[in-house]
Amino acid sequence: MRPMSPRALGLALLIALPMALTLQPDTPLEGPRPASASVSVSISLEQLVASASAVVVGAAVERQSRWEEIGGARRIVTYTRIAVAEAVAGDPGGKEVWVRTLGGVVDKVGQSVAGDARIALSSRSLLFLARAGDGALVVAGMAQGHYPVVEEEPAAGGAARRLSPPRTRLSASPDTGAILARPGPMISAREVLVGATLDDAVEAIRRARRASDEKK
Amino acid sequence: MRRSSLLAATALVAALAHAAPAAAYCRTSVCNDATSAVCVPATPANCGIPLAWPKPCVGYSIQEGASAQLSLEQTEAIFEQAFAPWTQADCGGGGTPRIQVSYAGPVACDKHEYNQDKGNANVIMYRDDAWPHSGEYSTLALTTVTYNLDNGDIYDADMEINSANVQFTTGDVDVQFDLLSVVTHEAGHFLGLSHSFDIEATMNPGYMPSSVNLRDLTADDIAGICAAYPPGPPISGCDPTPRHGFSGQCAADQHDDDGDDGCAVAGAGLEGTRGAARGAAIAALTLLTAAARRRRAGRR
Repeated sequence: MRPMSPRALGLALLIALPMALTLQPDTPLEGPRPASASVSVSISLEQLVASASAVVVGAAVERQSRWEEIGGARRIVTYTRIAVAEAVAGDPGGKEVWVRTLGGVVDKVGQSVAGDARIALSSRSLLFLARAGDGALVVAGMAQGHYPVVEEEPAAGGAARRLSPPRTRLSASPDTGAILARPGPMISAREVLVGATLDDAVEAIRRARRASDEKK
Repeated sequence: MRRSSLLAATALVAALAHAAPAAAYCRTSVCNDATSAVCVPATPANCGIPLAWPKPCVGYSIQEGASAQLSLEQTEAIFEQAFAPWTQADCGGGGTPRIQVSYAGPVACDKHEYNQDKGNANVIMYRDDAWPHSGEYSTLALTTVTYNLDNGDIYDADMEINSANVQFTTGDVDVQFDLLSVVTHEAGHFLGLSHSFDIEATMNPGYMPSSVNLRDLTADDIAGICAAYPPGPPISGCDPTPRHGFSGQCAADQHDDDGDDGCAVAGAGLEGTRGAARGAAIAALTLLTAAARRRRAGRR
């Protein structure tokens, strides 16, 4: 085999690095997976949309953890106040909503409940929301219903870089736990959404919502 | 430029960019008042103090009602198999992880809870009637780990299994969701491990149903458990009494004057006499179990 020319290597880097660095599920680029201790099977976008009462894009502006009784058991939960920037589907019930997730820190006690969404303060996310039995808003499908929004710098430099605004893409929730593929031909919501631009994701969700409504 | 050369270079660069660290186990950690992970070899995101059980003896209990899918006896056998590869891992030089996980018997409590002023148990429970959390059709099992924020000491770990919506299998044929695979992975979390980058590891998050591969640990899993609990002097007088004493009853059913399962414990860090007595009973049970296991191993 002939040695690779510097030009070939340069071109290869140009083509492959953006692909390789695109946010993908299950890549180590986000760093270690923290404290996940759940095992789940993947959910399709259609299932996720059907199980959600609302889908929103919003920013986490406040967070409070406390001990709370859920289903007769006392555990630490975290309430995160989300400033809703866009209601993608359904009615979240206001411009600001409190979303409950399992786990958190109260005084000197931490509780890790793996596999639930871990919504970082000041972060922007796409969230599939559902009502729990006690009326609280929770993330549908746990971490599989949470997609942090990340800004992607334009690849081109110079004037093109200054003129084109950064694109927003979705990444995977930091604590999705172990996700099993379902047997059979199913595309998971994560495969559709992680790495997609926010605009494409919103369009896919609205399409799935329309299809779900038509079935009803 | 030749097209094949470009393709080869592209593939090479993509492969290199996606390559995970060679050895890649991770331990759950506490970092800046939140849960994180510490991996070996280190990643840029490594942060905090790894979680671990502070004492070399840990007990677990199974909710006595077990499940319509599996009896208590079947569940006991599954969990003995799930914890054994972790505690008996070969750390080299004849050493094993200095952690002993023993079965403390069935308990009445069917709730996840960590009690700060009453007795506790590390309970494994099926959810036959309804899954109490979000993700009822996607979550197979969920472990809640409670820990000390300052030093990473694990206080309590409870495991819920979604038998309401998932049909588990236990055999080697017609495998669907293999319970032993799922709970061997969960047992790693119970002991403080996080997900591994090694795609063959039991602690790797991306495995497929219909497989029983996760039942057996890989070298990466073993490196992780041996790092978390390095071999040391033999454990004598093993006492797996949980923090604030042992109780098989949920907090609401515990009374200070309860003669059966109640734990007469008044304050944090104190173990009442009844709790201590129960602890001694568990310790005796642990020693008997270990002796029986040694005898069985000797017969093999």
